[in-house]
Amino acid sequence: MKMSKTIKAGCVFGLIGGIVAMIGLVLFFEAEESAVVTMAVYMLVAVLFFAIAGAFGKHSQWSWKVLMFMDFVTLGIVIGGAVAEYFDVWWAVVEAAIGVILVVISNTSGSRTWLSEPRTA
Amino acid sequence: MNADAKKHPAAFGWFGVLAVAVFSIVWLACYSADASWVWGENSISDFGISDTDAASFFKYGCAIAGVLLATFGIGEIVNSKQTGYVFSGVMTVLTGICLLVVGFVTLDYNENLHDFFAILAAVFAAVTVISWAAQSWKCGREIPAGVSVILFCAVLACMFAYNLEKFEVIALVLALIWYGLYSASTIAYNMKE
Repeated sequence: MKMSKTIKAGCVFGLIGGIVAMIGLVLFFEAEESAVVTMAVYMLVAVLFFAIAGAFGKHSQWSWKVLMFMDFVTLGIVIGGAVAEYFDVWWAVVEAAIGVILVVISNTSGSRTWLSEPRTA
Repeated sequence: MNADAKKHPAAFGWFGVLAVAVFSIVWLACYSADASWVWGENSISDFGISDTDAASFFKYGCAIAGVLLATFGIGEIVNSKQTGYVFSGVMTVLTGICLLVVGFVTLDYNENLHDFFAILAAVFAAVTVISWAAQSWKCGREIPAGVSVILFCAVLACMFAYNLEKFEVIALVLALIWYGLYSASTIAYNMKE
């Protein structure tokens, strides 16, 4: 199956989410021992978004159900971090919006097919 | 009149909706009755030992909400075929019973017993969420299961970030949202056209 525009969009949004997370890590960086947990959660969000981007690639590491689960876990960590005041609110809003877009893209029939059939770029 | 419970699975979902509504209204009533309650400093259980009408509201509100929740859980046990849904029904019944006990065994009656049943109610509620989300996932209902995952992550994050009083309020609000989702899903997936 060839990579459709929906799959490419999923990959792009995953990469954007990861880059925004890294920007957040730099912008809100605190060089204090007490801020280690906050910085670690920013990095965790970046890692998760990059992993989701990879799931839309040609050599995807996940099945469709795992992708959906990781989408929700990522969104949960972003929303949970915002509610628990680990993250800046506006940064969290942007990341949550990207997370919701990824959930919608992952839930399309194209994504289900992409993650179950042999793929070509 | 045929009152076979197995023929009305969607009807039992309304008990869950009522439980959420009753608890929400009671909580608001307690808050307006007791002006000394401060978010972040007082827990919900402090309404039970209030000198105002909030104490009665808390006691009977927890009892009514607990009974409604337990009835909803019984409906899930009787009407569900999948193991995960039956188990979440059992956990819902136990959560309802613990909530009923929490209402009557207030902090000044026996603090240790009150805390024990309050924590037990939270644990049973968490297990309900996990069980229901896992079974929903298995049944191909990824969106409701995913919302459960998001709410669970939010509660976990707040558990590490806040003190008990603040965490309890946030966790209860998210739990009310989740039980509303659970009840609505039960009604929606069992409605016969």
